[in-house]
This record gives sequence, structure tokens and C-alpha cells, in this order.
Amino acid sequence: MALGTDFSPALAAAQAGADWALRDLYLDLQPAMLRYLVAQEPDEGEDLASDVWVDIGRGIARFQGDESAFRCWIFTIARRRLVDLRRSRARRRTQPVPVERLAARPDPAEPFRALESGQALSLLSSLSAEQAEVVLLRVVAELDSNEVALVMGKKPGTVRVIQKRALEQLATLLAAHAEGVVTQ
Amino acid sequence: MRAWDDFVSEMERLPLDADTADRLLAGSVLPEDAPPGYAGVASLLAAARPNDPASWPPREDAALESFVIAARTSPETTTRSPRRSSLHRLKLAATIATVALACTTGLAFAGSLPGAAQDVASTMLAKVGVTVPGPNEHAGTHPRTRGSSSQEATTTESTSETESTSGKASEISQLATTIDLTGVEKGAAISTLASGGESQAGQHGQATADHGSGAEASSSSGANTADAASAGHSTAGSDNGAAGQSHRP
Repeated sequence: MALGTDFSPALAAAQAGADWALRDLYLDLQPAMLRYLVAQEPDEGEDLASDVWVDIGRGIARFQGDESAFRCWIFTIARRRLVDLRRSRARRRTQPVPVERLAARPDPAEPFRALESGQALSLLSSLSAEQAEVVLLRVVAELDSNEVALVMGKKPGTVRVIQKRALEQLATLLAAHAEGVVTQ
Repeated sequence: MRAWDDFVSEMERLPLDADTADRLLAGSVLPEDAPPGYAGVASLLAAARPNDPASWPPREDAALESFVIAARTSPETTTRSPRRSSLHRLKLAATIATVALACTTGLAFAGSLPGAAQDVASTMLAKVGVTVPGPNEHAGTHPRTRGSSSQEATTTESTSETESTSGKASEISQLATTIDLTGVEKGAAISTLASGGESQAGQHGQATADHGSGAEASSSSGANTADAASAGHSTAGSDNGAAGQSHRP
């Protein structure tokens, strides 16, 4: 999933506006970013991702750093877009959702043995917002705990505590659902 | 073995330590190697991880086009903005402060600062053991013109003049505020005192009186001439003199 040694030439070419380099960066990072955004905002994730890529395009010429720093940078932009969306939604106080979309949401009581990717992300969204964000940045964005702390503006120790509690919460949730499946 | 036995064993979870949680999230722990109760968590995290791009392929839609357009229209320079860094500003401020301090100290050593500044510099440098000239080092015998000069002036000859000037000023002030004299007389008195008796202010009133007596004398001499000419029949001058007197202020 990472460009590795190809990253530096790709970044330099992208900063010069080369088509192939911009496409490579997009293809490398878009799946993770889309997962990160859709898992938290299923209805707005794709639009948010488009906005994030526009922001990346505007700022990529000024970026300096390695691939890890680049991932931190784009997920910081994504997170800020997410926060902006939630703030504007809090001001609007309404969120119309089509009925058919509600019907298509996965059943929380579904067995977890054969989890699909989308279902896994839906289950992660049942965590608290902070816990879900940390897990998504760790798992989907593939950042380490220090990088997650950088993106979220928190201390690394705080992030480690949040991620530990998130996994314990997930284990409890899965066990409760599994017990419900067995008793049925 | 029944199926629910597996779940029962998974429910008996051990406390999760921070390192294990970190490894689970990093994907370095397979579900079968996960601690009791966390196999499901490891499976869930593996399913959420974008290992297979084909499972969630990025759509080559407007997002990529927008990205390319934004990247090409943005300024392509990678040079840093010309804004000065805070460290540079700090260095500049420190340099300016050092130069200003050196210049001020040099001027203080030369005694070239203005009186008040030289006084302050002398006092402050004396505290650190550096002696610089005071503000009056080059003044010679001239009296200080600020502060308590009237007290020091008593030791020199010129102080008597200063003192007398000061005394005269207070006398003039007292005279100006008195209510014993008013009008022209008061102004004349102040002028006389201020000029040391050389002023003739207020003398016009006497001059008017003299003029009046002069007119009287002329009138009487004219009357005498008329009497001589008319052999004593003339009455000229008697009424005029009276009239002249009546016109006197």
C-alpha cells in the first residue's frame, strides 16, 4: 500500500504537475482515505474525499517530508474536513437520510465470523467517536500511535489509552453479539 | 465440541495490555494468535484493513480530476515564503538592543548624554562599579538650572543676584495681588518696582495736572495783558479762568 522508494520521485513529479505522479499518489492513498471518511460519515464520505483531494492539490507544491509525513498530512486534512462537516451539521441540526439507505444498513446482530470490509467499518462506527477515529487512523490509514497523536493533536500516551479501551469495547461488543447468536 | 464452547472460551478475556493493543492495531497479530477473547477483534480489524485494494477500488471520478487541476493551478514554487522566522526576528532585536546599549554606555563614558540621561546612566553604572561622569562634571562654576538650584546658589556671588531677583519677583507678586492699590496706581507701582525705579509709568496723571495749572497761568497772564490794554476795564480771563478750572478733571 505504500510507494516506498518510489515516493520521493513521485512527490517531486507531482509537485511539478506530472499526471502519472498525481495519479499514483491518488491511487495509493484514496482507498484508505475513503474508508476513513465513509466509516465515520457514510453519506458524506465520498464528497469529503473529493474536497480533501482538492486541498491536497492546492498544497502539495509546498509539502516537504517523507511518505510517512505525507500520510500524516493528508489525514490531518481529512480529519479537519470531517470536523468542519460536523460543525456545520450541528448548526443545521437536521440530516435527511433516505429510507432505502436506512434499510440497507447492516444488522448489528449479524455474525462476525465472515466480516465484510464494509460491515467491519460499520461495527467500528459503533464505538465512541474518539475511539472510532483512533482505530480508523491506526487500521485504515495505517498510521502508528505517534502519528495518530500528531493528526489528532493529542499526546501519544493519550492515544494509546484510547486505543486500548477501544479494543476492549470491541471485544465486549463482539462477545455480547456472539452470545446472542448462540442463544438464538 | 459444541460451537458455543468456542464463544465461552473467547468470553473469558484477559486484561489487554497496551503493547498487545498496539500490535493488534498494527496488524501484527493474527486472529489465531490473539489473546483469549480478542480473536474476533483481530478478525474485525483485519477485515477493516485495506489489504485488498480491489475490495474498495477508488473510483476514477471527479475527485482525481479535481486533484490534478488543483495541483496544476497551485503555485509550483517549493521555496519558503519570504516571511522572516521568529528566530531571525529575535536575533535582530537582540542585535539592536546590544548596539543601543553599547552606544548609550559609550556616550555615558564621554559625558555626552543629556543631563537627565547622564544622571540616570551615572547612577545605574555606579551600582555595577563603573564610574562615569555625572551630569555637572563639565559645568564648572555655572549654577545648575534645574532641580534645587536656589539652594546651591547661596555659596556663590552670583547667587545674591539670583536671590534678589527671586525676592523681587515675590514682591512683585505680592504687589500684584494686593488690594490696597488699584488701576493706574497699581500698575505704576508694579512697573516702578520691576524696573528698579526707572519706569515713569503713571506719571501722566501729574502731567495732566501740570497742564491744567499751565492753562491757568496762561489764562491769568492773558487777563493781565487785557487789563493793561483796556486800562482796567477788561474782564477777560476771569470767566475763562473759571471756565478753565471748571474743565479741569
